[in-house]
Amino acid sequence: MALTKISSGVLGDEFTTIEAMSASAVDFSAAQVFTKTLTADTTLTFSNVSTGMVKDLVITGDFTLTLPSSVKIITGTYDGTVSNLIQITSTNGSTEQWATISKEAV
Amino acid sequence: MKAKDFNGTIRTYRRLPSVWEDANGLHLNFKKANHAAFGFYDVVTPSYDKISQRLGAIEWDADNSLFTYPVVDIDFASTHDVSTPILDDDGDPVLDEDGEPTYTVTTENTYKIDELKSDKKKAVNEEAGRLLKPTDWYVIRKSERNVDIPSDVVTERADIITKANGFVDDIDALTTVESVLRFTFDYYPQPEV
Repeated sequence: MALTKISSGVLGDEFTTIEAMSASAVDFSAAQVFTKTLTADTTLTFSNVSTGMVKDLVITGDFTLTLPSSVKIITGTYDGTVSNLIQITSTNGSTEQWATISKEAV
Repeated sequence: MKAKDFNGTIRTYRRLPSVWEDANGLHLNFKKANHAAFGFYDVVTPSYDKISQRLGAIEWDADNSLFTYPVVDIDFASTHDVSTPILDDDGDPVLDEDGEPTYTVTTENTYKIDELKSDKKKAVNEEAGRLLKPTDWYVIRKSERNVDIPSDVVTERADIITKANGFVDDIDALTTVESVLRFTFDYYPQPEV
């Protein structure tokens, strides 16, 4: 019987898994959600970015977080005292991504 | 306050932005950054005499790694040119051979001691008027109904007028712009505690 509906069970790891970043690399093909607690100023690097990809970064830590210069902020401000959901959408491969930053309500 | 030098143009920041963008990326939570690494340094305003000195344009102090302002002495003897249009008998501008308006250029002192003295004396008299005003009605009553003015009121009003005249005499005796600018008066100074 032909597969007529896509369920989460058939999605690859890049759409369903969480990766705790040990360093500062965000491999868009590795996971859907990336988490990190900053312990120092950190510069993230993106790889394997394709147009249309949407990734979620859950980051906390009261340090300066540097995103690649290809990222443009749509809205939101990073607040290092709480958890922040930074959603990245690629609109032109590795050339351009847009980000929204939402912070945990406390 | 912080400041940063952008290729010779120094920009000051009363508050640093929460996001800073440069060639290396988009720096979030920028308030927590090592600002010096991004070229942001403290701005230190030196103390100076606000009457005889002014602050120059902000500049970089390499010895102390900060931005500051040079203190410049005010030249009270400075002059400037004043251009006044030349008008004919009808009040129309007199034009030169190119059809442009002509002007008489005169050199004037930037700081005019007579005007400054006049302003100071005006302030002295206005304050005297303010102090006399609450008891003016005694004078009016005396004038209209010949009711005597209480002696303490007479004394108080005379004291105010005497002081005002003294202040005006003091101002007239001043000979420099700076001394006029520094002149202050107080009819009833508070005793030092």
